[in-house]
Amino acid sequence: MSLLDIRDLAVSFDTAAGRIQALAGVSFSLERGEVLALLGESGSGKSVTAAAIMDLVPSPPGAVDRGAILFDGVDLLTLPPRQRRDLCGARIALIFQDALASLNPVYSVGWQIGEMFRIHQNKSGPEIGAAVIDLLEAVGIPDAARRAKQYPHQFSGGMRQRIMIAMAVALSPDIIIADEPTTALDVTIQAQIVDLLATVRQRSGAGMIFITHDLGVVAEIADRVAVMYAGRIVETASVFELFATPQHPYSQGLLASQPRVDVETPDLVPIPGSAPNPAALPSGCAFRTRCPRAQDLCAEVEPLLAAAGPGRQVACHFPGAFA
Amino acid sequence: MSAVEALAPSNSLPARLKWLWRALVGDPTALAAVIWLLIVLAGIIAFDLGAFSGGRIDLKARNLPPFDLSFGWKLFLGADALGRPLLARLAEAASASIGIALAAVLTSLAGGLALGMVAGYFGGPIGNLIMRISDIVMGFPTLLVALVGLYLFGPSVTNLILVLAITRMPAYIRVARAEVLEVRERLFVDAARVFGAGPFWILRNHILPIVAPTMLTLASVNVAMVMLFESGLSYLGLGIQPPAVSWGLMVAQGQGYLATAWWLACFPGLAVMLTTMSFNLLANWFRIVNDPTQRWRLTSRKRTS
Repeated sequence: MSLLDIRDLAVSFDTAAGRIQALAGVSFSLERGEVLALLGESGSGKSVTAAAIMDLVPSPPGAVDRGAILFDGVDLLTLPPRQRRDLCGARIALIFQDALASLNPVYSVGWQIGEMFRIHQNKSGPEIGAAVIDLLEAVGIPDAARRAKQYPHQFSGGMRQRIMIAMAVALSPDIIIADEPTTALDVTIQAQIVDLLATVRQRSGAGMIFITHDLGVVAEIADRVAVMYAGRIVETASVFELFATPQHPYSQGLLASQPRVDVETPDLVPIPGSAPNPAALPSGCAFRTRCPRAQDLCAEVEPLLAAAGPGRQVACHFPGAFA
Repeated sequence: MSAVEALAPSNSLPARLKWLWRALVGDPTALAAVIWLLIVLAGIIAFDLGAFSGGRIDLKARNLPPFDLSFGWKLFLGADALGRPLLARLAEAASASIGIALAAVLTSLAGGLALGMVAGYFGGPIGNLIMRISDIVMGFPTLLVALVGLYLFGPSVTNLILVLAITRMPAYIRVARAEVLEVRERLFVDAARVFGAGPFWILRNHILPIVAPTMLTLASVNVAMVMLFESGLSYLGLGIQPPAVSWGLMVAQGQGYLATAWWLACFPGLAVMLTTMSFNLLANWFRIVNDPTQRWRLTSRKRTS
């Protein structure tokens, strides 16, 4: 049994332009100790997936229409709120992109990390204080005892993200979901944070869902990748397979649009067109309007995610290497 | 102690008090406010201990002018229309005025905060019910509600406090709700939810500290309003009943003598003004003390001057 098994998850939002299908039947699973990258452009449904797992879909206007989120065999969507809350933070933790906004400005960071213990455990004050300092040291914040008393605005962006990571791993969760944790940081800090995430994850043996649109980060940290497009998963593969032999034309487009140091390509190849309006998706395959391989069949029948070799799946009528 | 350490209050109680004292000294206006409130408090205690005894009705001292020490220190501020020393009357009225104003304001603050936070955070039918009821209370002229309430239930101090608290409460509910609506969309509230905090934990630990400074400022402004309203009601005979006295009642009673004995209305009026101003200044100071990004202003100003 997988640690996390998401089956046919559909989430929609009511907007002025009508009902928008943010997730149209997403299925994937995460094994214990595995790092799965959710890769996709803005609006592809990566963050909504994380929100649905953490019960953060605002309702109204949003709603989980169907599907199941099985965590250790228990469906989170049918769990009573109280029990679901007990899992959040303790067994599944989320790291947001904007660390400054995720920290309450009126509390010292030490207090906020300690909050994890106060919510979920009955630890005494000194025990919490010691645990907080240990955590701050574990995420590489020097002079932890003094820094714990300081407030979020007294930390740099990278340091704040380290604090968020400390909060996320405080109770050694089984799953860490990182929602674009490095997007708001500059490149040198990004690398440090990705390294840190990889180390703390390895130390605790947790599974991780890493949400990003950065292929470089994916190559660095992920074991397996799920590529998302317009609220669907279009391809899942191990990170090596995806980079070596992408099957779905969208994955191929993504890879071709990245600069590479090993190949002499003077020009980057962009994917033509732009992401479709989620209120008016094309019929059939959502990618067909931008797809170099689109045929009549693509407009009529929506391709489903189907096995394409061991451990990989593709949702395309005409998968395969670049023609 | 390094400059960075000085920014945050320490955990131990003596260190905390020392830090608060430094923050207070760093804001001269707040210090003045505290000194005035201490003077008023000393007056109340002195009155209760009987320091002003012997200040009974004395028609010879009728409307005695102030600033004359030849009749003893008790008559330094003059005497009222019945020859009672004004200083003693002011001290006696202080406990009633401040007591009623604080009790009324704190009741409406606590009630308004609780109802407004529930209405803002949960919304739904309960939130709607709270808002519609507060609309109804707001829809009636405050004085009318107060008059009817006090007429029906009788003019006791408890009823006076309740009437003042309930008529002012809709303002607190609305402000609290509006603030909560904004704060609950902030990411740190989502973060707390993600980390497993329940709604009441979030309201108490994450929303209340952000909303509290605004509410305290509103409350401090309302202290003045409530004191004046109480004097109005006392003037109409539905508030404090003579021979008990409040500053507002003293102003009302002295009003008829403004041309001949200005001190009868002026000194209690001055007391109301200074006291409400002190509460305002203290509320402002308190807001800064509780804002981690602002509080350095209080502790570092001394060094530069």
